[in-house]
Amino acid sequence: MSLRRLLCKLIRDRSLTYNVLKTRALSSQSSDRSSDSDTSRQTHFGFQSVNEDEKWKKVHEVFETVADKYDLMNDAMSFGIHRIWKDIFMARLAPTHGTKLLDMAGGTGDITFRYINYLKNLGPAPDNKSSSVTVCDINQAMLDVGKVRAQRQGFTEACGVNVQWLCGDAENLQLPDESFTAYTIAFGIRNCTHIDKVLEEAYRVLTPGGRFMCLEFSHIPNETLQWVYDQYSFQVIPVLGQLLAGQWRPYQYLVESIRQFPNQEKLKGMIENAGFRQVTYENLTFGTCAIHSGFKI
Amino acid sequence: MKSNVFILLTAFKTGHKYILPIINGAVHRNIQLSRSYSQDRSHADVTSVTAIISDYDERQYEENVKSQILQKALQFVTHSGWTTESLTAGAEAAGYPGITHGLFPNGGGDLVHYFNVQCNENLVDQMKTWPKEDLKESNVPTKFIENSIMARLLMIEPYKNTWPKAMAIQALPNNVPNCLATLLSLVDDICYHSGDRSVDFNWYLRRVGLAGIYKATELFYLTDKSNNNVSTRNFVTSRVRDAQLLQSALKLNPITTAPQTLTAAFVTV
Ligand SMILES: C[S@@+](CC[C@H](N)C(=O)[O-])C[C@H]1O[C@@H](n2cnc3c(N)ncnc32)[C@H](O)[C@@H]1O
Repeated sequence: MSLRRLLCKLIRDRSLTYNVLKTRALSSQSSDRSSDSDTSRQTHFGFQSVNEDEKWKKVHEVFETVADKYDLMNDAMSFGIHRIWKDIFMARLAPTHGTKLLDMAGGTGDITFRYINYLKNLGPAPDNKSSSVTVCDINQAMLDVGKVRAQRQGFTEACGVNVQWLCGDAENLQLPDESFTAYTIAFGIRNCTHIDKVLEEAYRVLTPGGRFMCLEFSHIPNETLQWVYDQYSFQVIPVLGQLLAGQWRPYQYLVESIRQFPNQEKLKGMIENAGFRQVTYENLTFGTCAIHSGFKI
Repeated sequence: MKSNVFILLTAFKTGHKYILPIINGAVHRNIQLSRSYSQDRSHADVTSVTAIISDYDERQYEENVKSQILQKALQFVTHSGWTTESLTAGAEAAGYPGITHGLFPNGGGDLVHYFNVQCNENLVDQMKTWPKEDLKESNVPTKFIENSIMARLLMIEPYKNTWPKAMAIQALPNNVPNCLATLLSLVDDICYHSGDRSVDFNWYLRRVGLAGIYKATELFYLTDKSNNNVSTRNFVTSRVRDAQLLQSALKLNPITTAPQTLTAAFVTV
């Protein structure tokens, strides 16, 4: 359903990265430095150097295309519902001024932008309460997409929320204990090999009272509906993937992995085992998606 | 089994008669359970018992954290109302980040509920120290009931300005069950401590009637500008007297008039 998810997979498989790199190489032949192998991936797309204005523009274009395709595919497959799911997700988190959020697997910034908007709508923050968000993703390329989008959509310093972009693995975070008051992971936990490790790390970096929230595809508790959904996901999604993105297998993988992911109750148990309390979940759209929530209290 | 015990406890606490059939079933099953337990102290049994205990501790711990935050939140109500904002401030005052307000998905509704429960408990503590009324002919401890209603109402005093909002919040569909439950437990407590041990039809009538009186008085009280709330007190007195008259009228023929009265009482709740 989420192209994002698929893209992550793709990028992790490197196939897309290669494509991106290829495109980038093509479109930036003037600057030799950009056409190296992907060992330089991480530094390559950083925006620090001043004299790389032109390169920045190219990178910008390439990723903007990718990001656009993201949204197209996401919208096509979920009928645009993924936006609503993310809106609900943020409404449930209901951040307050002074929140320090870790947006894990936040790649393209969808959650982070909603977070910033939510805080903006609360009105001006009191002087002693500054909010921040750290967008963390294992894939630097995804973070770069996010940065570009942030720039484009006007989420700059001026909006009063301190935004950090960090490349890191959810299973092994290079972040100090008790440094965030909220942790979100949207359509990301399924990508991780060891869910328990992710949860353990989440628990570690949260302050007491901190909240863990996860948005993920889930299981429909009703058999008939599940059957309908399966028909849709197994028959339609790969076709859509083929048509819109020219890929079949990754979409096949996508729908299969959704079925393999632990169901609502199981995931709830895992979250509790990590030490969280007051663990609850809420089904969205008949359970195709679920929001899990827990507190470190 | 746990839920049975729970029902049992609630039943004892509130004395609700309608739970009786359930209790019977529960007690039965419990006896069987404990019998098999004592005959065969298998490992599984022991662990399940400890699991229940630690489960209980867990919940107790969570409840404590929540009460702590809610208690702190109350001091912000005059400023920010019965809102998530107050809960956020309460969480921060209790040493947690503001985002911990998410522990209360019903927002202001959870805060109002907490306040109501607190007040009810408070009232019970007070009532325990009051002298029982000498019941003569009338059979209804009018004075006691009036006093308890007044005592309970005056607990709202510090929040009088924001209380209409609180009443509106309680009327929201997802808050109605909690609201009704606290109201019924309030009138239950009042009846119990006033010495009412009736088990006949009056049991229902008194409670439902009393709940109606309380709600009506609450409304009256909110607009009462009189000194020391004298008007409210007069209002209670006449409502209780009305009810008393009604009851003695009913005694003549309870069966025929009962249904209508019940509906009427419910409508006023
Ligand atoms: C489907 S995207 C979700 C993006 C965004 N949160 C959203 O909802 O639109 C999944 C993201 O998870 C990231 N990811 C996968 N495994 C990860 C891990 N072990 N640690 C951190 N991020 C990971 C991927 O790089 C990808 O950006």
